[in-house]
Amino acid sequence: MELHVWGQGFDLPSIDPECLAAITFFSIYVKPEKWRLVQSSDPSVSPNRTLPALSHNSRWISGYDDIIRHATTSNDVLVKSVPCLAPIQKAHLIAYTAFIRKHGAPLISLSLYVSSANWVGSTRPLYSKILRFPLPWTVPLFLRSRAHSTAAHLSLSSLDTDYVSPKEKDGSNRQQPAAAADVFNRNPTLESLRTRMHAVTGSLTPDVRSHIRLDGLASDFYAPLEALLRETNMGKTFIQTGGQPTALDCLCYGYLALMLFPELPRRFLADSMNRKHKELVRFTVMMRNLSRKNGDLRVSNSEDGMGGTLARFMDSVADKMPGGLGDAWQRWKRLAAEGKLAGNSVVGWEAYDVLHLAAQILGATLVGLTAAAYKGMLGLGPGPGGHKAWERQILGLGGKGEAGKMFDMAFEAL
Amino acid sequence: MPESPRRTGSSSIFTIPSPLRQLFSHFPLVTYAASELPVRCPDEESRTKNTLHVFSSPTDAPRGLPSYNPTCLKWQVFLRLAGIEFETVASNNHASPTGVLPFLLPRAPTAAIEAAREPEEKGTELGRIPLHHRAVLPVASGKLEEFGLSYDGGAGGKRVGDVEGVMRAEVYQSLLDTRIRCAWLHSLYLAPENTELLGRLYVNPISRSYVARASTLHSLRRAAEAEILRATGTAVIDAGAIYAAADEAFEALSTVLGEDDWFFGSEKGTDTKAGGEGATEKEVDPRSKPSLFDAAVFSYTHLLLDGDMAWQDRRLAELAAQSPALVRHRDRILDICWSEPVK
Repeated sequence: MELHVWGQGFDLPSIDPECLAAITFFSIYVKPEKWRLVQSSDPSVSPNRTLPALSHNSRWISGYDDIIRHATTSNDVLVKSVPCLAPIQKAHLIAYTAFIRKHGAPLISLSLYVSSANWVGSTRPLYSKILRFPLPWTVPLFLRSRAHSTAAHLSLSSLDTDYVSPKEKDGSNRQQPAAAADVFNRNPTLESLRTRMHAVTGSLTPDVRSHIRLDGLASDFYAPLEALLRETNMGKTFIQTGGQPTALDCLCYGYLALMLFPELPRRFLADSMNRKHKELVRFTVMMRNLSRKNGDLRVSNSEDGMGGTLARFMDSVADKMPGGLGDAWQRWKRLAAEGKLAGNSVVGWEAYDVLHLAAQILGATLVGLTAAAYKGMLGLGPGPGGHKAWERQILGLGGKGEAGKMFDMAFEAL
Repeated sequence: MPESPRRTGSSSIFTIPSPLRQLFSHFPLVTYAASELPVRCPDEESRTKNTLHVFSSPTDAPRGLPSYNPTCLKWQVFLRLAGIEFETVASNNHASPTGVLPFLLPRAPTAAIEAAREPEEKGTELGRIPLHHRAVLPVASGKLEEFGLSYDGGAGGKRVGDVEGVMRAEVYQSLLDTRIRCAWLHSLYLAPENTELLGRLYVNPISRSYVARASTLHSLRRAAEAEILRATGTAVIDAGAIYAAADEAFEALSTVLGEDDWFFGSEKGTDTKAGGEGATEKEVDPRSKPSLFDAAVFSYTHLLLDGDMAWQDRRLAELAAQSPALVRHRDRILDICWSEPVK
């Protein structure tokens, strides 16, 4: 079996929490001679373009849950059997898995990608090591913009000093959403109290304010996990199995390790865990020791040639094409992959998509023409000499056929 | 150095060309008198009642029937469980001050409350304005839980339990917010067989024009796609995986509910504490109270099991129907909130 993951960093075998979780599960439960790790850092290897992905007998399985299910049901690959769970334990496992993903992923996005200090100081240099040239020019930017959208609902984009939200681009105020929400909170009798509170929050720098919020968010994530840890097995594993880790323990380790271990310029997640959630720190360190017990991992790098890297680079450039073309290209790729998954060979374009694209191109052309016409009315040529040259072009077009005549008529009408 | 034509005042980029200036000087052509307020606007009488603005059809809303939007239904049920009297009004996102439904317009204070106001409060500048003349501030969905819990249900004390601080409820809530929500979005917005249903609920009420409907449908679908991709964190929408995940989620919910009447009934430790402080003498079994989490589960199971929804792609509906515990739970809430048979 080959386990494809994002590359290593922060002294951990992968810098993606789900990949790290899969590696941990495999190094604890799967016989070392039965699998090897491929740090391909290329999601397009698997049919649904997600890492981690497992290739087993030329079949692809991707996503942590499916990989674990596949590994535990395959014959003769496990060192020891994965503990059997009672129905209520299974229910908890599923619920806590969803909880970790929902609340953990935005926190990791904030810490590793959104925060400018950490991105410039740690994460971006790491990607330069992981990815082959020239991919570090494009792929990390894509990952960062995805992290922005993952963490958007926490409205902490102020951590990113270069980030300009779409609203600010329009020239409106950064505080606007908060102000809109405030309409609801306003209560005349509390007005004076509120002004005093504003004075307190107003005296805090944005850094301190976001630090307080981050600490609260981190605690919201840590507290339920720590409570579950205390509840079962006296803080050894999440689910009472006699000390045997389950898929949930491995997943949780994947997220907690990336919060605790990286040496970052801003260590708000690690600080909060160290300060208030000692049980989780103990658990994370215990899991790291457990995953390293079976010796070193068998790692091989992706054997992609230069051609593959270039193709991937061109693809990531195409994703960013302006005027809606990049989006259309991304969507086409996704629909093609979805079609393959569902067993159709035809891409499921809707008629509307084609119309939409055509309208966009038409719209861009019209804007260009209008701008040109407006410029002409003002007499704003590139200069007296250039202006003449431009007129000549139009006259030239007029002599060339239908389209040229139409242009002439249009300008005469103006 | 010859002066460039750009320098001259008449041909700056900010100068309006004279043909355009002449054209605009004709406006406004006609000025109409201000139109009257629409008939649907709240009048003096409707201000004496709480109104909850939800997604609903104009025929269902006055009868207080369940909304077809899970988030709206969740709050509608929660307020009903709490025993609060309110009217439902069919509305849409553009009507809401926060841009999302539901929101609640509390009733204007009555004369009795006005009379009982503290004299010193009346002394302030703001206090001189009679309460019923002040704008009533809407309660956004984020504050509705507080609103519902603060309501004293009368004889039996509070009718709903507080799940704030029950960590397990928070954890299981993420099952609803991720797995079940994704499957719901896929089922309603993306499954081609359910296009007719989607059209009936969200697209057709907006406009009669074919172009506007096609455009709305398209943007709704695109938004649902983006939301699913964001929530699953994958690059591709894999329908099989989404429904498998929802199946697991329903199974987990069904297991954790078990034979109980309400979710996490035994864990509402805060409830007994509150009872000790207050004057409530009798020990109420905390399991006998539903909470916001029950309303949240009901909002999905009811819409999936409801015959009126006319699901054509029944994959998700069948997953919900598989669990007897969840079906019983849905019937129980339906009995309490809509005791007279719906329709």
